[in-house]
Amino acid sequence: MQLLRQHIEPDEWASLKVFTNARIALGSTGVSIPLKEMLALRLAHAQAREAVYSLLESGRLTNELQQMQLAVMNVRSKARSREYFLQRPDYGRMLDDFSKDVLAAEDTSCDVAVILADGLSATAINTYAIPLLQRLIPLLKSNHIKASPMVIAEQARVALSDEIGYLLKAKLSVILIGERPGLTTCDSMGAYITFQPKPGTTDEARNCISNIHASGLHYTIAAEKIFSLVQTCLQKQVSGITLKEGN
Amino acid sequence: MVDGILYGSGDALIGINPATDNPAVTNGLIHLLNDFINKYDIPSQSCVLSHITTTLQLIEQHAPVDIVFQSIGGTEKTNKSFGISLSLLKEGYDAGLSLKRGTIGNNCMYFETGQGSALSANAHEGVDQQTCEVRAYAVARQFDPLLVNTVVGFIGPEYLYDGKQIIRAALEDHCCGKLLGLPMGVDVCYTNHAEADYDDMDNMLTLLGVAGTNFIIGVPGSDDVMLNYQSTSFHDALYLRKVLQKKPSPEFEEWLIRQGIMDNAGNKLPVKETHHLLQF
Repeated sequence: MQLLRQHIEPDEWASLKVFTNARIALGSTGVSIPLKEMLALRLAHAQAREAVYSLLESGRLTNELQQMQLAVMNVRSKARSREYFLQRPDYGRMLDDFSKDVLAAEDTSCDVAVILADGLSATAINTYAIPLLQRLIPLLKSNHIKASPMVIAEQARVALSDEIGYLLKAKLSVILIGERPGLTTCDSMGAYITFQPKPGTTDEARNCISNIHASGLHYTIAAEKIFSLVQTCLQKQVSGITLKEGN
Repeated sequence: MVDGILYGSGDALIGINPATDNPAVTNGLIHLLNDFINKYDIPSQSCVLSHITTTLQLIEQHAPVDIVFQSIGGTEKTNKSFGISLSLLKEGYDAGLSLKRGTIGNNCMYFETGQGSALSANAHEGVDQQTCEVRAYAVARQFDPLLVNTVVGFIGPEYLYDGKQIIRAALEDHCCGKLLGLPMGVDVCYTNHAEADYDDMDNMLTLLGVAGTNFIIGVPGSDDVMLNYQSTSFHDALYLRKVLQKKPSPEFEEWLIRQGIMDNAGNKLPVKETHHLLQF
């Protein structure tokens, strides 16, 4: 039997690839994506699936935070496993009883509760949380904004920051959290800022800085953006959609 | 944008979903799209996805907004969690109309919906997610939309767990949207934390094509690098057109033929490096 080599039609705009991570100029075979590109997509999908099931390196993170002279607290949501976490977002937004007690026993008040949470990619936090905090914490300190102990939260959704911030009597919460992994990026970190965090807060009351990763928003710039939002929120006593960036 | 156009996509809408809601950035993108469409005389319209309050602010500054975007939900509480109300939507709709940019029609709204958004905002009032979704369509219907898009697989596995559930929801949404007389389309998509993959999307795309969906979303190589999920590629749209003998909208088809991007039989033509869309 004769083996027929499929004709692959290249796209003439491959030079544009330097501007984007998007899968442009893939070429085509018939009207479809060539096999090589299709396999690349599937490999990336497998890697993203792996990131979803990655774990926080709590021990290492704790050590590195302590080296920065920061106190650390470890908490967990009510979701006992990744499977529960994926199926029950409500569990991911509630602290387990033990964590609640630990936070409630912390008797100092603070301006900003700082939280490191796995979300949907612990890899993101393992990679970018420390370098970002190494820039953010000094900015807060030099402007006399008091940060809480660093709270490392497992199986956590964004809204877990409401309960944590509330129990720590914080004026504001900043949660660094692993974003849903994509195919080109499975280690993207987001930061959500909420003024007067309390259980039941909804998303319109938050400000978000997303896409913090190696080829996205650099953590140095992200730290400055977070700091500037923190300042504005504390000044205007509000967070969320009424507070537009640049206004 | 060029990638999509040269694959024959963009007849319904050419859109950008920016990573920021910053008004100045959004304004810049609106102008970029407008200039691009004008320069090449493309019979389409543009939309930069931003919160309706940002769009309103930019319309006041006379930005060339073709289409006003907003995510909507099926309960008052859900819409509140999106930072909107019916009166705000009306304000956005009136502002869109006031620009008088329609040439062959005045449908100036683009809405996104999706089963589970009410539950996700804890605003479902005990009502099931399909009913909440259809209530969102009733909201959309009040504002003569150009497009209503159910971003069906975006919500994640807590609401639609696997490929099978996502496909079922897509067909439900399509059916209900059609019953309500809406220009209903589907973002054939899945996230990386759902039990779904590209094969499920091939099935869903074909089913929706057979069912007569009004439009689908296209992103390069099916990979949305901003929102980190997978939708359908420009290639996928060509596949659907080919197997179901579907055509782009007539004026856009004519334009594609004139540009040497497509031939009269609907075949994609190879585009040379010297094509004027590739001269930047």
